[in-house]
Amino acid sequence: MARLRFVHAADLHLDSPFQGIRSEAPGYVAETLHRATFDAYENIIGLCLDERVDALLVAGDVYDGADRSLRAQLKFVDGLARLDKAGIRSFICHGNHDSLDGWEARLDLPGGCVRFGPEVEAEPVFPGDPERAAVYGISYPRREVRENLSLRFRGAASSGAFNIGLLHANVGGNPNHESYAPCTVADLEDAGMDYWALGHVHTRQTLREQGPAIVYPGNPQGRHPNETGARGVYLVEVDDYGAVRLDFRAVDVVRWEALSLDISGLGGEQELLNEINSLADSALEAAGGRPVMARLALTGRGPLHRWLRRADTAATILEQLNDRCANAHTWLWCERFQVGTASPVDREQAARREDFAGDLARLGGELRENPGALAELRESLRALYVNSNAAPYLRNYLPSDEELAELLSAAEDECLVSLVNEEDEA
Amino acid sequence: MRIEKLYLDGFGHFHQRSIGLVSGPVTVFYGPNEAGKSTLLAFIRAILFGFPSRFNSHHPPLAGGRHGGRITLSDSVGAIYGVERYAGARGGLNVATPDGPASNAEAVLQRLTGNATPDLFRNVFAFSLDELQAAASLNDSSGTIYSAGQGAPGLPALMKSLSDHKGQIYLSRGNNQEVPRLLNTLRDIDAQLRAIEGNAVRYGAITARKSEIDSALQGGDAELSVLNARLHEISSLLAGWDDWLALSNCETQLQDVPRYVDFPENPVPRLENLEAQIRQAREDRDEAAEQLRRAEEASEVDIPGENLLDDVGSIEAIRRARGSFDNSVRDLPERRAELRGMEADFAKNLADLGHGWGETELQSFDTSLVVRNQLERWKQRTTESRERAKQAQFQLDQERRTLLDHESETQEAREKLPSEPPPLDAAALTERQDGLRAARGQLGEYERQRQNHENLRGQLNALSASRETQERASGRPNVPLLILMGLAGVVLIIAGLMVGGRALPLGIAGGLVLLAAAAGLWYMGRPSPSAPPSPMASALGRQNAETETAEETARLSLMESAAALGLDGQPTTAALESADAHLESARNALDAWNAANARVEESARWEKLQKQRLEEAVREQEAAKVSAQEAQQEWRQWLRERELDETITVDTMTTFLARVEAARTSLAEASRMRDRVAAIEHDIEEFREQVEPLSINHGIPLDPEDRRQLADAADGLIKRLEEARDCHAIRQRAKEQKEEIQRLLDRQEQRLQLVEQELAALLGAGGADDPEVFRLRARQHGERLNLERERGQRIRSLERLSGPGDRLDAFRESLAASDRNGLDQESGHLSERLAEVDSRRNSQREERGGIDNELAQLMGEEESSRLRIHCNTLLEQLQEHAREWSRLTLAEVLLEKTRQKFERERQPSVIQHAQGYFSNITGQRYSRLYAPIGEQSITVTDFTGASKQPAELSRGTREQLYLALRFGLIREFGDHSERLPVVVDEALVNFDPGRARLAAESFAELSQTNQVLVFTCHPATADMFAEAAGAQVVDISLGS
Repeated sequence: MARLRFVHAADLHLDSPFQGIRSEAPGYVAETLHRATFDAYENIIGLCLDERVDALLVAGDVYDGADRSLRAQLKFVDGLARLDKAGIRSFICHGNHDSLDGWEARLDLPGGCVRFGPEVEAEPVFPGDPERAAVYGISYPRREVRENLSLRFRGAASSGAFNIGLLHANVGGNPNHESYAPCTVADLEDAGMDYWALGHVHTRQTLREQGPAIVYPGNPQGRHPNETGARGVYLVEVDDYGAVRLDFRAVDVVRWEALSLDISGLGGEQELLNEINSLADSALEAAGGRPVMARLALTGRGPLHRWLRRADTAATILEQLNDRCANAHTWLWCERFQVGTASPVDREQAARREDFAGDLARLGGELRENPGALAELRESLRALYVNSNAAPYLRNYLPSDEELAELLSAAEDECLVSLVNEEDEA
Repeated sequence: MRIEKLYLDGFGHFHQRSIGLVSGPVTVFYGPNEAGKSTLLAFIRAILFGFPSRFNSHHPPLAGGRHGGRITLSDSVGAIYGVERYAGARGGLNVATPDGPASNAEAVLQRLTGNATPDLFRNVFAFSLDELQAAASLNDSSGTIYSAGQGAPGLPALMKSLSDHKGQIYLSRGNNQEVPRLLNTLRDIDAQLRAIEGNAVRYGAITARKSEIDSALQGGDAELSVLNARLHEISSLLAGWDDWLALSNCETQLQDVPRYVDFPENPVPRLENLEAQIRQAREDRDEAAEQLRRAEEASEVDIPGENLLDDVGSIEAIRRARGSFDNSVRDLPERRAELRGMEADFAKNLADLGHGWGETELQSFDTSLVVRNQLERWKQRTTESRERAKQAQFQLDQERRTLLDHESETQEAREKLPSEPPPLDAAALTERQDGLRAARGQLGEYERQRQNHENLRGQLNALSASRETQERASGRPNVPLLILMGLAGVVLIIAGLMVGGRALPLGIAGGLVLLAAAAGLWYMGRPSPSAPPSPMASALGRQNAETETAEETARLSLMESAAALGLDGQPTTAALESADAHLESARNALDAWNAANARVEESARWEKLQKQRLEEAVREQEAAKVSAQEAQQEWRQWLRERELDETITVDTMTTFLARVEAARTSLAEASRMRDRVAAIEHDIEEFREQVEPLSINHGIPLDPEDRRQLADAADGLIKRLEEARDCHAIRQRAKEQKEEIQRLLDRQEQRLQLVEQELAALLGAGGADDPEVFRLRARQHGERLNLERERGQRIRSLERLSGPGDRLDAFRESLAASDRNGLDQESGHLSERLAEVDSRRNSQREERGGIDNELAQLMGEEESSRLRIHCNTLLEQLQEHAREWSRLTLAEVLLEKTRQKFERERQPSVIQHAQGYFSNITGQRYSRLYAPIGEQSITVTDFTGASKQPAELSRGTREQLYLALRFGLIREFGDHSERLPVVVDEALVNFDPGRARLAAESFAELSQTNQVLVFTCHPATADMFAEAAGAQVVDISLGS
C-alpha cells in the first residue's frame, strides 16, 4: 500500500471563456464550451473519489481574475464538499488570476479543505498522523507577485514526513507565461521539499522526476487554440521510501487540435476536401471520443491557391467540414480556416523582372528588411489600431515588425498574383 | 530575339504546318476570320512560355498530330536556336543550340527571352484591338492608359479591388462596415458584464437579510403555538354549546313519556296495510260470484239450424265446387261459338284438296318423311336437268359468238397481209450484208494503201527538191565576205610592218589568220561534181512502186465487191452507206411481211379449233333435252302410283302436301273443342245433382233449370251451416269456464279469512282490541324513541369536542360553568391577534422566498459566461478584420511606392520614347507628352500649344496614345533587357487611313529594334503594312 496518494491539479480557470475563437459556435458546441471547465473539474473530483486518494492539491488559478463568477465559486466549493464528505482532504493555493485581494463570495469551505494564506503554512495531510505527510503552501496576496516565493519555503520542511510544496510560479523563466513568483529549479531543490506541486504553466511538464519531483500538470482543459492535445492532472503515488510515481490522467472534455495541410501536391478541389475530411477523422479518433475544437491551416504553394483566395471558398469549406462532423457527442467543430497558402508566383523570379511587377517584388523585399521602413508602414496602420473607436480593443495588437513583415508578404503576394497572373484570369 | 520559323505539329486546326518568316523586320499574318490567327498567337506563347494551366486556353490538336511544335529563333548575334515544346507526359521543352541540344533547355530559353514571363510578354509586347478599344472606351477614368505606360494594365482594377475590400472592413467615418458593427456589439457586451459584476455585492447583502428573517420566523412560531391552544379550547366550548342545551332538554322530556315494552315495530303502517288487504279480498270474492252466474246462463242456450251440422260433408263439397260451377256457366257459350268456327275452317281446307276428300281419306293419305324425301330427290333431279339444259344452251351461244370473233380476226389479218412479197428473202439479204461488210473492209484497205502511196510519193518529191537546193547553194560562195576578209588580212600585215616593234608579230599573225579563213571559206563553198541518187532515194522508190501495186490490188477487190452489191464504178464511203441503208430497208420489209403472215396463220388455226368446240356444244344440248324428258315421264308414273292428279308438278307437289297438313291440323283442333264443350256441360249437371236434394231437405226453394237460383241455393246452404257452427262453439266454451270460475271463488273466500286473523294478532301485540286504541299507543311509543335518539346524537357531538368518559363529563361541567357571551368575546380577541402574527410571518416568508429565488439566480447565473465567450469571439473577429485591413493597406502602400519608383526611374524614358511615336502617328499634330510625378495622369500638347487630358481626345486618338505608350514601354524595356518580338492583333482598325499609314510607319521604325508580327483579317491592312513598312505578308489561310 502506498504511503500517500494524491491528485495534483492546477490552473482550473473555472468559468473562464475560451479564447481565440473567431466564429460563432452553433448551439451544441457553445453549450459544451460553456460547461467545459466545470466538466473538467467534475472529472477531477470524480477521479479523486474513484481512486480514493488521500488529498487533492490545486496549485493556483482556480478562477480567472475578473471572471471569478459566483457560479464558479459555488461549483468549486461544492466539489470540495463532496471530497470532504468522502474523507478526502483538499489543499488550495491561489495564484495571479485568483489572488487573495480579489472578490470572493461568503462561502464556507468544508472542514477538510485547507486554503493557504499569504504566508507559507504547513498542514498535515493526515491530521491524526502528522509525521506521515505535510503540505506547505502560499497564496498570492495580489496579482502581481514578482518575488521568488520558493525562497520562503526554505527551512520549513519537517524531517520524517513527506513534504509537498504547493506553489504557483514560473520556474526557469518560461517565456510563454508571465514571470510571476519567478524561481529556478535549483531554488526548488534547495527548499527541502519532496514534491513540488506547481501551477501557472499550462503545458504539463516534469522538471525533475525525483528528489524532489518538480511537476507542472498543466491545465485540465485547453481553452485556447494553442493549448492542443490531452489535458489533465497527475495522480501521484508515494511509496514508503518516498519514491514518486506519476500517472497522468486526461480529464479534459473538449480537445483542441491544430490541423495543417500542405496543398502542394493536391490537384483539385475534391482532393483537397477529401484530405481535410481525413484530417478531421484522424483528429476525432485521437481525441478518444471527446469533441474536438479544431483550427485548420492550409499551407504550401499550388494551383489551388487561387480558388482558396476567393471570398466564399474558406467559408464554404468550413461549413462543409462542420456540417459533416456535427455529431451529437463526438463532434468536431473547426472554428477557423486559415489559408496560409502561397500563390504560384515565384517571388524570386518576379524580382528578376524589369517591369512594374519586378519593381514591386524588389521593393517589397527591401521594405521587409528595413526596420525604419517597417516603422513607417506601421504608422499607416495607426488609423485603425490607435486613432479609431476600436483603439480600446486593438491598441495592444498593433503589429510587431515580424507580423508586419508577414502581412507585407501577404500583401505582396496578392499584388503579384493580380499583376503577374493576369493571363490566367483573362 | 527574332522568330525565324514556326512549325505547328498539332495545335488547333493546324497539323504539320510550317510557316517560314522572311528576314524582313515586319511580317503580316493575313487570314480571314477563323483562319487561325489567334491559334498562332497562342502557339507562340505556348512554345516560348509553356502551355497554359487553364484547360479552356488549350488548343487541342483537332486535325491530328502531337500537341505542340517548334519555333526557330535567332539571337542578337544571329545564332539560330530551335525551341521545341510538346504537351503530355512524354512532352516537354527541348532547345537546340548551334552547338547541339541544350542540357538545360529552360535556362537557355530564359536567356533567349530575357527572363520574360507570359504575362510580361502579354503586358508589354503583345496587344490587341480589344485592349485598345477597352482603354479608349473607359475614358481613362481608371487610369488604364496611364497604366499602359507602366506595363501593368491590371493595376487600376487591382487598386479598386483593394480599396473596395478595405471599405467593407473599415472606413474612418463609416458605421456599416465590419469593424464598427463589431465595436457596437462589444460595447453592449461590456455594459452587460459590468452590470453582472454587481451581483457579488448583492449576494452578500441578501444572504444577511435572509438570516434575520429566519430568526424572526422562529420567534413567531412560539407565540402562535400559545395563542392557537387557547383559541382551540374556546372554540370547542362554543362549538358544543348548542348540543349541550339540546341534551339537557331531551333528558327532561323523557321523564314524562310512558314506556311500552315489546310494542310492535312500525305499528301504524302495518295496521293500515292489513285493513286495505281485507277490503281488497272482499271485492275479489264478489266479482268471482258474478262471473259464475254468467257462465251458467251461456252453457244452456239453443242453436237455430243445428240439423245442418249433420250434412257438413255434402255442404263442404258444394262449397269447393261452387267456383268451378260459375266458370263453367260463364265459359260454355264461348266454347260452343269457337267450335262452330273450327268446323267451318276444316270444311274449307277439305274443299281445297279437291273432290273426293273426306276425314277418312285425309287421315289415310301418306305424308311421311319417306314421301317427303322422295319429293326432295325429285326436286333435285328436276333442278339438275333444267340446269344442264340451261348450261348447254349457254355454252352453245358462247361458242357461236367466239367462232364469229375468230372468223373476223382471220379476215382482218388477211386484209393486212401485203399484196406483194418482199423484194429480198432472208438468204439473199444475208448474202448482200456479208458483201457490204467485205466492201467496207476493202475500201479501208484501199484508202490506207492509197495514203501510203501518196506519202511515199511526197517524200520522194521532197528528197528530189532538197538535192536540187543543195546543189544550187553549194555553187554560190559568199564572195564579198571573202574579199573583205582577205583585204583585212593584208591590211593587218601591212600595218604590223609599218608599226613595227611589238605590233609586228601581232599584225602578221592576224593578217595570216584572216587570209587563211578566207581561203578556207572559198574552198568549202565551191560547187561539187554531179553525184548518183542517194540510197535513201532508191529505197523510197522501191517502196513507192510496191505501194502503188498494193493500191491497185485493193481497188480491184473493192470494185468486185461493189459490183456484187449492184454499185457502179469505184464505190465511195457514202455509196457504201447508201447501200447499207437500202439493205436495212429490205430487212424491215421482210420482217413486216413475216409478222403479218404469222398472224394470218394463227387466226386460221384458232378458227378451226373453235368450230370443233361448237360441234361439241350442240351435242351436249341434245343430250340434256333427252334427260329432261325421261325425268318427266318417271314423275308422272310416281303420281299415278299415289292416285294423284298428273298435272301436279314437282314444284306444286310441295304446296299440295302443305294443304293436306293444314286440313289435318284444322280437323284435330275441331275434335279437341268438341271434347271440351261436352266436359263443361257434364260439370254443370253434376253440381245441380249435389245441390238439389239438400235444398229440398232444409226448406230452400229451387228451380233446377234456373242456374242462377241453383247458385243462390248453394250459397244459402253454406251460410246457414257457418252460423250454426259459430253458436255451437260459444256454448261449448261457456260449459268449460263454469268449473274454473267456481274454483276461483273458493280461493277468494279462504284469503279473506287469513287476513282477518292477522289483523287480530297485531292488535293483540299492541295491547289493544280496537284499531283506534292501537293507534294512540303507537304514537306515544314513537315520541319516546325520537327523544332517546336525539339524546344519543347530542352526546356523540359533545364527545367529538371533548373526548369520551371523564373528559366528556369535565367538558359538560365546563359548559355548565361558562358564559356564552364571555366565550365569544375572548374568541374574537384571540383571532385578531393570530391574524396579526400570521400576516407578519407571511410577509417574512414572502421576502425570504424572493431572497431564495434571487440567490438561486445569482448562484446559477450563466449569462456572464456566455457573454465572455461571445466577447472573446468578437475580439478575435475584430483582430482578424484588423489584420486583413492591415494587409490591404500595406498592399496599397506597396503599390503606391512601386508606382512612385516607376515614375521616378522609368517613366521619363517611356514618355520620351512615346512622345516621338505619338507625334509621328498623329502627323505632328501632337508634339509633346507629359506625365507629372505623382499625378497618375498623362497630358498631351497639340501643335498650337494647348494641353489636353486623354479624356479630351477623340476615341481614335486615345487609342493612338495608348499605342504610343506601349511603343515607348517596349523601347524602354529593350534598353534593359532582351528585345522580344512585338505581336499586334488588329490594332489599326479604328485609325483613319492617314494615321493608319503613319502608325504602320511607326511600326517600321519600331522594327529596327524589335521584330514586329502583325495579325490581321483585313487585306487593306496587309497591303498598307507591305507598302508603308515593307512587310512580308504571309497568308495563313493557304496550306504550306
